[in-house]
Amino acid sequence: MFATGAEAHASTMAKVYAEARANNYTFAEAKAMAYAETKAMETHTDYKASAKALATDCLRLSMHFFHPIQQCAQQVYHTAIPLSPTSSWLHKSWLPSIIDNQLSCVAVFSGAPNTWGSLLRTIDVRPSQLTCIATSAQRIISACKDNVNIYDAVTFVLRQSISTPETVTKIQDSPDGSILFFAHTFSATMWDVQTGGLIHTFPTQSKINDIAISTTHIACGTSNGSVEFWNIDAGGLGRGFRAGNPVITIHWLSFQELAVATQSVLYICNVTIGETLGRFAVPGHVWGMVYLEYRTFLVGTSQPSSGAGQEESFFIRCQQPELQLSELNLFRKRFMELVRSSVHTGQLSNPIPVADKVVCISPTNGVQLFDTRSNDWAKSPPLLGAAASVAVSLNRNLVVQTKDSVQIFSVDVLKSGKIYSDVHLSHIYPLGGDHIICIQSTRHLTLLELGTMQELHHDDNTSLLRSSLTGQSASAHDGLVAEFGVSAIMQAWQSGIPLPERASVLNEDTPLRGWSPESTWMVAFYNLPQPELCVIDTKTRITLVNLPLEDTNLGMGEAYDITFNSETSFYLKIDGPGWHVQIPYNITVSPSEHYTLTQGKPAPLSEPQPTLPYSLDANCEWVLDAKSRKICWISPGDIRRGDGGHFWAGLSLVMVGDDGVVKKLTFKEPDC
Amino acid sequence: MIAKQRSDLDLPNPWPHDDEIMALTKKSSGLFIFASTLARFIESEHHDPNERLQLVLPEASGTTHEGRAGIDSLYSQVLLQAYSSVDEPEVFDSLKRVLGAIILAFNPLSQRELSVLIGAPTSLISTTLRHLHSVILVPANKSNKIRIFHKSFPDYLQDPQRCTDPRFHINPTINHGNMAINCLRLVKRLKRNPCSLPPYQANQDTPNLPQLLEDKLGGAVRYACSYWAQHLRLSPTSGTCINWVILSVTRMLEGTPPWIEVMSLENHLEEVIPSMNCLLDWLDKVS
Repeated sequence: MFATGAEAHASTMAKVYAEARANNYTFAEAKAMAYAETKAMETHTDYKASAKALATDCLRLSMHFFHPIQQCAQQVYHTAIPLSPTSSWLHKSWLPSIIDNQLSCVAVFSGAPNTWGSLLRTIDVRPSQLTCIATSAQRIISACKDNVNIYDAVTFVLRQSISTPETVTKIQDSPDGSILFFAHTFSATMWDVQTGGLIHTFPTQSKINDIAISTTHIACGTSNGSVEFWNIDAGGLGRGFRAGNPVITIHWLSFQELAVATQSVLYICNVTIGETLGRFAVPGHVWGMVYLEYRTFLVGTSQPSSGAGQEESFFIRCQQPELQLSELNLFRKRFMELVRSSVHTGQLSNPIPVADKVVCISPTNGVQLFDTRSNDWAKSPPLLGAAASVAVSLNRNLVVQTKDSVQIFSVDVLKSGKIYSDVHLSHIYPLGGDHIICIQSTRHLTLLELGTMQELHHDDNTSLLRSSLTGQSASAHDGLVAEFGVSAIMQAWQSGIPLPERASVLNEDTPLRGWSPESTWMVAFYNLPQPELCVIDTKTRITLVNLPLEDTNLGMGEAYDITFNSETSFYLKIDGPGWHVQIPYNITVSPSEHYTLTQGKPAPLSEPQPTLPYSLDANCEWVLDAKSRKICWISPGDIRRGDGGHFWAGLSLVMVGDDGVVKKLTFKEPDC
Repeated sequence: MIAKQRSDLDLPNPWPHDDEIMALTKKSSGLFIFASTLARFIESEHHDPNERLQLVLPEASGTTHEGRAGIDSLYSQVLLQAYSSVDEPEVFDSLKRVLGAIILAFNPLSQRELSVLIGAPTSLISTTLRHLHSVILVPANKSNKIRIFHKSFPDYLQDPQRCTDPRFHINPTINHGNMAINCLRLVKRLKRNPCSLPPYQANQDTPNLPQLLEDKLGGAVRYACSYWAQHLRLSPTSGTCINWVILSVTRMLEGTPPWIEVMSLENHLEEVIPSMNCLLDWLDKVS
C-alpha cells in the first residue's frame, strides 16, 4: 500500500518507464509514456472514451459539411463549426474563438440541433428526380431519368456518371463490383464500371418488375409471370421459370437457387436444373423480400388481400442454408417454416437488412424496425420525412431514396425510440413581422414568435385549415393568412391572436390581391377583360365595389403589389418601362352603407424594391452577400425549397427542414 | 574500378582474387542488390577496401549463406561495422528513431523533413546515417529525399528472425506508433488559416496552392497531415505505450479544424473520413 497518492504516482511512473525501456523504447519515449500514465491516474480521465467522442465529432463534421469545406477550406470556421450541433465538442470549444475573430457571418443560430442525429449525408440531385438507388460496399448508385451517378460509399463524392438511353428502374451491382446491371422497361443492360460503356443488352418479352444478379446469372422477373435468366459469362439464355401471376420480386438465395414472389405465392427454384424446389403461400400480396444469410431468414413484406390498410411481414427461417441438390427431398420437407407473421399498420417499403435488424420505411410512419434477434418490431426515432420511399443498406448504414435526394443514415437510426409521427411541418410564412406561421401536414397551424422562436398555443379548433394549402397563400400584412384552395377560404391571425374567421370566394385567376390590416376586406386586381379593382367583404364574401382602371395606362407596366397603409387606404404599385408609379386608393362607406373606391393622384414609386443584404442562390444551398461571395452553406436537409420553405426577415433566414424543425439563421451586418 | 579509384592503397593485383570473386558470387546467389550493396560497402572512402572485403568473405565459403541469408549477413556486417566502436545505448536509440522513420515512412522524406518529423537535428540524422551509405542513399543536399537502395533492407531490419541483434532490430508496430505520435505532434501544432488566405476564398481561386502549402507548412507537416492515421492503424493496441498514444491522439483531435483545413487545401478532404474511421477502428481494438 502506498502512503500517499504521490507515492503511487511515482511508483507507476517508475514501473511504466522500466517496462517501456525493456520493450526497446527510447529514453524520451519511455519518459513520455510514464507521464501519460500518471496523468491519466491523476485526472481520472478515460482517454479512450474522450478520443472516441472527439473522433466521432470530427467524422460527423467532415461528413456533414464536406461540400462547403471541399470548396473553401475556411468554411470549417465560416459554416461548419457555427452550424454544428450545440453539444458537439468542436462547436463548444471552437465557437468562442470564431466569434472573437469574426470568422463567421452567422450571429445566432436558433433551432440548431443538439446532437448530430442519424443523418450522415444528403446527396441532392435536384432538379432531377431519382428513379432508383442501389449500394455496394464501395459505392452508392443512383439513377435519374437519363443518367446514373456513382458515388464513393465512404466519402459520398461523385465518382462517375453514366448516360443511359432509357430510364433505369432497377440497379444491381455485380458481386465483384466490375459490372452494373440496369433494368429498363423491356430490357436489362450490362455496363462496364471502369469505362462506363454498355456491354450487352438483354431484351425481355414483357415488362421487367425486378432483376437480381448472382455470380453466374442475371434474372429478370416480368409482369407476365415469367423469370428469364442469362448466363453472364457465356451470354446465353438460361432455362426460364414460369409463375402463374406477375412476378413482384425475386431474390437469389445462392448462386443457383432463386426465390420468386408473385402476389401471394413464393417459389424457390433451381436455375441449373430448371426445377421448382418449393412453393409456399404467403399471407397477403407480397411487396418485397430479402434474404438474411447470417440468420438464414427470408424476410418479406406483404399486403393483405382484404386491403384494410394494414400490411403484414412474413419471416421464413431457412433451416438449411446450403441448398444441396442431394438434400432435395429433405429440403422440401424441412427447408422452410413460418416462424412469425407480424401485422403492422401502414404501408411498408421493401425490408432492408442493416446490422442485425431489418428496416422498413413507411411513407407515413418513417422508419420501422424489426429486430431479428427478438423477432419483434422496434420503434424508431423521427428521422425521415414523409417523402422517404426506398432504402438500401450500406455497410452498417441506411441509404434512403427520396424524390430528389439520397440520404445516408448511420446505424444509430436503429436505436429504438419514439415512433415517427405523421405530423410534420410543411410550410412556414412570416406573419405580421413578429411571428411565423407554421402549417403542419395535418393542416393544423402553429404560431412561433420570430424573436424567441417560441411556440404560441392556440385552441385547436381555431387553428385548423379547412383544406390543403395551394399556391401563393400567405400575406404578410399584419397578420393575415389566407388559403386558396378550390373553395378559396381565408383565415386570419393578428399579432398571434386568431381573429374571427373571415372567408371569401375568389376567382382562381385573380393575379393580385391585398388584405386590409384587420382583414375587413380584400382588394383584388383583375387585368382581364379590362383592368379593374374589386373590394370584397371578407365576412359576407360579397363584392362591395368594382372600379375600372381605364386611365392608368396599365398596358405599359405591370401591377405587382397592393399595399394597405390603413384599413381603408392602399396603394396599387405599377412598374414597367417608363412607368414607375404607385396609385393611392381610398375605400369610403356612406351612412347608407354604399361603398366607394376613390383613386388618388399617381405618385412616383417611393422606393425601389428593397434589396436584402444577403440572398440565397438558386439552389437554396449558399447564402451570398452583395459581392456574391459564398458566405454560409445550408445543408440540403435544413431547408425546404420552394414556396413556404423559407423566408427572409431582415438579416434572418427562417427555414423549415426535412425534419420539420423551424430554424433561424441570423447574420451579422454585411460589412463583417 | 575500386582498385583504380583507391590507387593510393597498396592493393594486391589482381584484386579481388578469383577465389574471392567466386565466393562472393556464390554468396550473392545472383542477387544484384547483394553485389551493389557489397560494392558500396567496400568502396567506402573512410575504410580500407581489402579489410572490408575480408569482413564479408570469411563466411563466404560456407554453404548456408545463400539467397536471403547471404544478403542478411551482408546487412549485418554493414550495421556492425557502422557501429563497431559504439557502446552508448543512446546512440542505438537514435539509430532506431532515424532508421525506423526512414523505413516505415509511406513516402520518402528528406533530411530536413525527417528532422522536423522526429524532432532531431539534421546533424544527428547525418551522423547516424554516415556509415550506412551502402544501404541508404543520403543525398548531400538536405532537401532531397533519402532513399533506401532495396526493399530487402527494411524487410531485414523488421524481421527479428533475420536481424537477430536487438540493437538494430526495428519493431514495426512500435515504430509505427512512434511515427504516429510524431505526426500527431506536428498536426497538433497547426494554426488556423495556415496559408493566410482571405476569408471565404475558394480553394480553386488560390493560385499555385501546392507550392504555397510547401512554403507555409513544409514537407514534414504535409506528410504528418496525410499519414498520421495510417501509422496509427499499424500501432500497438496494447502495452505500456497505449495511454501515451491515446493522449497524443486526444490532443491532436482537440485541434482538428486546422487539420481539416489543410486536407481541404491539399485537395484530400475525402481522406479525413477514412482517417477518422481508421482511428475509431484502432480505438475499438485498444485494450
